[in-house]
Amino acid sequence: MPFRKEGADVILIPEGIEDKYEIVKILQETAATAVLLVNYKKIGALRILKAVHRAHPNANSILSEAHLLQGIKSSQTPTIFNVEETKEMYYLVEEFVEGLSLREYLLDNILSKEELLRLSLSLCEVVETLHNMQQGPVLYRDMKPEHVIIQDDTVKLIDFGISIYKSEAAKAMPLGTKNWAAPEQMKGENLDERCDVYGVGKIIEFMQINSYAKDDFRIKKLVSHATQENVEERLRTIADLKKNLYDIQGVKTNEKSDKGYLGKKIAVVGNSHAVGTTTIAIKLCRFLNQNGIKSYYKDVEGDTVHILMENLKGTYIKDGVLYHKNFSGILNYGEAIEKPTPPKGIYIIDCKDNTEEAMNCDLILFIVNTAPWHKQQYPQWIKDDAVHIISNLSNKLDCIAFAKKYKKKVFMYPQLKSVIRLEKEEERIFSTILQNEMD
Amino acid sequence: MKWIEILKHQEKIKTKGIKITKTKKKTISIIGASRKLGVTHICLSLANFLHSALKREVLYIELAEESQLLSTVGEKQINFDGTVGFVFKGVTYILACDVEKALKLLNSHSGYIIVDIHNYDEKTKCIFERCDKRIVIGSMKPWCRRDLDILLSKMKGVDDMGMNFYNKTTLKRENADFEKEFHRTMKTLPIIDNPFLIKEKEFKPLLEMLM
Repeated sequence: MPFRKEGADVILIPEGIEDKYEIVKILQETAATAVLLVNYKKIGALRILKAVHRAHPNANSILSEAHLLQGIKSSQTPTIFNVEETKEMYYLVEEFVEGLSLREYLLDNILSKEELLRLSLSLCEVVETLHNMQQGPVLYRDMKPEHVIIQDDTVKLIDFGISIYKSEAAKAMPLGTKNWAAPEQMKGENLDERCDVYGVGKIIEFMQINSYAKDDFRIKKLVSHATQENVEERLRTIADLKKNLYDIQGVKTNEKSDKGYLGKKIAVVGNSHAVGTTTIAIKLCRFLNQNGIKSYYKDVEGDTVHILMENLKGTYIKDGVLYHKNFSGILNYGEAIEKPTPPKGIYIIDCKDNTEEAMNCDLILFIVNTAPWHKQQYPQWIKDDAVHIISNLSNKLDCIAFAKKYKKKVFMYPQLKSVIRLEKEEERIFSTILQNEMD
Repeated sequence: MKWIEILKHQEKIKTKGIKITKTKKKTISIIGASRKLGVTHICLSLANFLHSALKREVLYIELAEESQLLSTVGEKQINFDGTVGFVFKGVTYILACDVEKALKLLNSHSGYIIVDIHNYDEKTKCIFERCDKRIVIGSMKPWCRRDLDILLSKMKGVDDMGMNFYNKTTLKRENADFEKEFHRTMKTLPIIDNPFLIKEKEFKPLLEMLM
């Protein structure tokens, strides 16, 4: 043991620099390596001292870490103060990053959605800096909650021990932490920036589990996209991940400014085919327009608006929108028609039973029909606050049973007398659902 | 734009309180009295309008010995009912089609069919007559009058029902001359900038042509 006198319990500063530092705490110690919290005697500041014996197979890693860190111009990575070598040792002195690690922080705290997004974006910022280095992209490769240090609203990344330049990725050893590192990294396959996208995705997932937004379907979808096992199906860059996070954060920002609801998308999606999504989506569009909120019905798969154009009396078209009384629907023109500019307003997306499409929206009205011939499997995200359940063509007892099972309010949609005229009960359901959203 | 009402009005006829829904005109043939009057241009416009704006299934038959459209629409080849076809912007094209094949397609295809007839002669006459909607494009310009006379004499005996005459000019006098001479109405052919990128304002005249 290079850091201890034989038989002694006292750890020693490597020979040659003992006059500069004194040990405060041993953070990690093995036979040939040590990570120490030390006091830099000259100015009385805390520093991290990493030492490795020359005989250690990874002795060069400390030098490469120093080399990497010196090239990074970011306040979110530790500063390198000294890199030296003695007869037996290599050692590196770097900034002591104060603060709790993400794992420690989440033991006592539950994140809000805003906090989660802010920390995720801060993490993306630092990884993006690494990927856009002038000397070539750096792959961090060791993303885990212990290496993410919380400092107010931002995060700092520590321990660049196994980080490498992308250009050296082909000959890199398959290192990393199980359950946190990307599968291709553990298998020793060729790596690119997507291994860090996976790592950041895992951190966001970890934060989401320990947050009030654990059922937020948009974050879940993003995490699932970022942590795809198959590298080809994964989000391509950290910038993409960041953009998606901004999109999720943007919803909240828009609500407070920019006339609130404009540009918002409301999905109407069913648990299976023919549960009445089109009727409810059209009625919702009429309801909003009737109340002076510009909204547009859009059918993602079919040509409902074109069929309405042929079958309704008193319709007219302007700029790709079909208007009829309080209804306005986006015409799904083919390639040979000049595309008009999409109008501004709320978009009511009729997703039929396409739940994937619904997850791109800000609010979801999930239409269920509890009849036994309809699919009775529901996605996990129906418990999310942004998802409202409407039971259509079902009886009251089934609605109550459903509400009990999922611990969620279920709106029972009335039987319709007219497909055009809004009934009082329909208005009541829509206004209750949208009350909070439109405030 | 109230043009949709025209479509509905034309498709439904009230007879003594009974609503009869007329079968839609699904086969449309277009011929030109002279060359370069824009027959192909208007055929393409109608085909693309029917498919992209009205979401109809459209088959475009180019009744000609040689194709003019292959370089434009020939990107994606398909097998259409045993015939070589091409799909472009949703419309299926049968290029350089002969009369026999065209007749077979007219009988078998259930969607809309646009027949672009390059030459009106004894052979192609049967295809023209077979269509529900027949459009003749002519010109009353002095240098085109003879072509129009020849075409109309060839068409003697052809049922006028569902036949419309169009003139490329915007001069009302020319249309009036035609009416006076041939006792038939002549309308002005709509101007469509790009048949592969139709504007909403061009919908109405195209729909009126289909009526």
